[in-house]
Amino acid sequence: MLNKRLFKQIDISLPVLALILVGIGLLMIASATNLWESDFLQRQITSAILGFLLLITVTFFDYRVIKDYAYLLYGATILLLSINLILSPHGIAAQRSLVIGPVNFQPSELAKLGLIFLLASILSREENIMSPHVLAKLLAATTLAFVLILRSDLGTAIILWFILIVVLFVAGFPLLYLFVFGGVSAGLLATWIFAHLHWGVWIPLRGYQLMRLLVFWNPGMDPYGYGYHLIQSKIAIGSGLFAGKGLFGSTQTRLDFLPEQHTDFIFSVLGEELGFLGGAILLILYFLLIYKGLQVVMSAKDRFGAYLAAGITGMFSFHIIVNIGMTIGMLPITGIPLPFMSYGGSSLVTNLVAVGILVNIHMRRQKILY
Amino acid sequence: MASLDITHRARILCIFFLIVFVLLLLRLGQLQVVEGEKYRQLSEGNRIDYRPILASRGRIWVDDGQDKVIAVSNKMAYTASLIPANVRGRPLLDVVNQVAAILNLNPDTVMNRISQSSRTQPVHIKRNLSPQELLALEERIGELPGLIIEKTPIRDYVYSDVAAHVLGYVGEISRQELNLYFAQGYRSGDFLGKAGLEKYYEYFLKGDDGLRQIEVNSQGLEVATLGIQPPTQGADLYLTLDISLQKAVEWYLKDQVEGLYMRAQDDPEMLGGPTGGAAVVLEVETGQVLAMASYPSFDLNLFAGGISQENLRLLQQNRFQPFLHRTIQVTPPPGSVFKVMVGTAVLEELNFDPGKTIFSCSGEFQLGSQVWKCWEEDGHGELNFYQALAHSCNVAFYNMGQMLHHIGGESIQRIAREFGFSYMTGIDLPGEKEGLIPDRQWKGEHVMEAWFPGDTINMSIGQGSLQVTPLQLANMINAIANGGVLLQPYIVEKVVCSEGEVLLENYPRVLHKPDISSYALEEIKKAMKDVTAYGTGAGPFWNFPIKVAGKTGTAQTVPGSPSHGWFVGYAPAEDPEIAFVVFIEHGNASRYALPVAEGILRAYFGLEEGRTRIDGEQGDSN
Repeated sequence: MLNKRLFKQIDISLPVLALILVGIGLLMIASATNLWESDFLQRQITSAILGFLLLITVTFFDYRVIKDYAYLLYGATILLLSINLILSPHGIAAQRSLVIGPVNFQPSELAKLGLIFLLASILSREENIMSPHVLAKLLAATTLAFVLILRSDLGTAIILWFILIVVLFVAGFPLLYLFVFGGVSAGLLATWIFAHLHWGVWIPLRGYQLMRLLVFWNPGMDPYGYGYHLIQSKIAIGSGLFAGKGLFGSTQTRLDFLPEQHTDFIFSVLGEELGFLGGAILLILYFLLIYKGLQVVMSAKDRFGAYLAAGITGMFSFHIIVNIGMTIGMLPITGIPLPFMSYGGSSLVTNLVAVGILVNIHMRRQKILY
Repeated sequence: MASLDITHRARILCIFFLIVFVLLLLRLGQLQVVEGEKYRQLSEGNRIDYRPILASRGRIWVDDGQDKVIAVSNKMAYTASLIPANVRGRPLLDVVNQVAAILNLNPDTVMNRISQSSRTQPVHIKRNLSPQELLALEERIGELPGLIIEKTPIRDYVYSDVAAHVLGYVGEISRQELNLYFAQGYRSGDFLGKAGLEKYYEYFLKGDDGLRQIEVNSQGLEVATLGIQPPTQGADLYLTLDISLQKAVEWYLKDQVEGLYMRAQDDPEMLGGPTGGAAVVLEVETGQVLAMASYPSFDLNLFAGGISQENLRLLQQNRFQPFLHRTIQVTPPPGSVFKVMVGTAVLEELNFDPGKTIFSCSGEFQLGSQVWKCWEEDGHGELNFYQALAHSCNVAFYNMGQMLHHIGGESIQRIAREFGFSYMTGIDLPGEKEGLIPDRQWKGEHVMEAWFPGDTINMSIGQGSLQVTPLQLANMINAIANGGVLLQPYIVEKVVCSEGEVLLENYPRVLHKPDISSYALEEIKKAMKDVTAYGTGAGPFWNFPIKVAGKTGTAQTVPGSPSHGWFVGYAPAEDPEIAFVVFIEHGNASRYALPVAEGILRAYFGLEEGRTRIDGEQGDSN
């Protein structure tokens, strides 16, 4: 299964980067939560161990297996999303997760991988990616997942479109069309929100989701409500100055001013405690991760592997950009986790599995001979 | 196999992400390095809050013989407060309604107070919680966000209703007061002196609130105390009041008024009986107030933590008006007590031998077509000046009034003003009235009529439009007793701050030296001694162990209402120590004031209890 040649080609830089990021994340969670009153740290460590075991496990199977089972895997995630939506039709944030026995996970995390598998599979089988029926399949697959996730998790739903765009771009889709596609989507969304606000047109967003988007433009609109997160996050990060207040030395975080500090706003904790220095190092680490991911895209043996790696790297990139952008007030608050760092088992395990797939693709690359 | 195109596009992506990451990095630098200080300060402000530590008000000390004892101090009580900004998760109105229901308060009043206060500071909802209220609140504190229960100092009035009008009480600052005192640091919900010394010496008593710097979490809940500026306790007042004498005076006054009231229920001639009373004892040499009583009184402790609406309503609607301070805030006519002033004017203005000039009283006095009666229907017969004052003969004084009217110059009014009437005494209490000495000018302006001889006739027996406060009468008598010096009465001897420094010291202060001859003074004193020797005041005093000088008064009020009873005097007559006034509001006759005066003198001079009669032995006296 795993012969000597393959073993030699394993590039451990990606798992090591993931390990460093998870380690930093654990430190931040320890700082952001009360270790005596909560078990967030233990649970995150458990998820990390499980994630790394799965990461190693996925490297043993040839990633090309996924290509054949892509529809099945995608179908399974859609099924889980549907079950989740039926069980909690109101899509309250706390009910994003599905409980099966002792396992409690968020199907939307898996759905991202499921969609990436399917997109890569469809595109790698077609010679002409511009053909209408291919585009129709891609759009249908993305829209279905998007609609199922939207009510409970706006951020993740939006990420799906970014994944689609990145995969299409890498697959050679003309840039102009992508711009048109992205522009039209954004324009449609803006028009829809405008229509909702002014004429009461129905919108599949919950009040708080809409508010978060609007507050981005004017956080003072509601300083103790939705704008509160943004203001508090900026205060936390800004007050860290160059060197930070020191590990475990944050005040914003430890006095609970900062909401959701161990999940979506974990970067704010880091910004406050480790300052600009820590933030810059973290950005470099994340960029290295993306850079390595893109190297996997370039070195992949086949188009499926390349598209798969592109989807995964795109997923990481947009999570990182949207999350950090949100904490520093560059992007609206959409409530998505920071990969490898935010508290949350589903996200961590999914991301580590994704790293495993990248390693898998990379070790099965075409041997470059000079 | 990865095509060149894929590699190319992956590189473009890489550059794109690099640009985005550089943008993130720049933004991070802007937040943390360029604007960092601003956010650092914001983060400090976020977690630091200030809570006032209420200062204890200054204590009030009184004399008890040679000792100083505390009459008003402070005790710690539980106070329920609400920090509006911390009310999260439930509507503010909802929380207020629930708290108001538990504490039996009007929710509108509470909301009103909250709307006038800072959102981030505790707003006092109720002070001095009862154990039941405390328990009820603590049981539900989990469902009442923003509610805090603190220990705050409240007033403790040791003698509850003794000297209530003098000591005064505290209460929550009103909207009008807030407008006035905002600049002095008062805030909505603060307590301040509302009456008596509590009000007059508010500046000294209030102290300075301290401040506690605390660390708060996002719910505004206190996590730790970072620093404390301790409060400065208010300065203590030391009074001239003697608590034993004060208690005795109040007891005699109360006993007499209540006794008369009971009697009046069976005697239709008493027209319902008395409605209240007052008494003041001054130290002759200094003008210090030794006792100052107003009946009915009320329990000051009702006000300690803010008076309840119910109790306030009961007190305000009480027909005997317990809030009225009857030594300085009522201005009844003085009646025959005023004959002391008329007599002084006569001695001063007329060439007159008080022992030889004879007045003849047939029981009435005629001027033109008008007839004035003496209270002794059969007449007093022939009297000299001393006898006229001793028996309080109206006819004799009508004649004296007529004589003074003829020489003109409004000498009665002049003498009365010399002795302080129509001016506030300036005592250190709020709300003092100045009374009225009517004259030609006043009548022309206010009644639009000329001053008739009949007006002078009325004034000569202390009737007409005359208005005096009991304290003014006592102070006048005091000036006669001390040889002709009108002093400013005072209650607070000194104000001492918590570090022991004397902030204010009151000394005897001469208001005025009445422009009268020592001859007139000596003769009027002589006549006042006759009052108690054989005259209208003789009842309890003719054989009293201490020689007393004084003057009775029965002042007619509106038709259908009983007359006021007065007795003013000083003792010992030869070497005066104290001057006093006793006033029985609608007490029917002056003789009913005599037993109170007797009781006061017995208490002051430490004489054995001998007072038994509710009226002064003799028949009708004037």
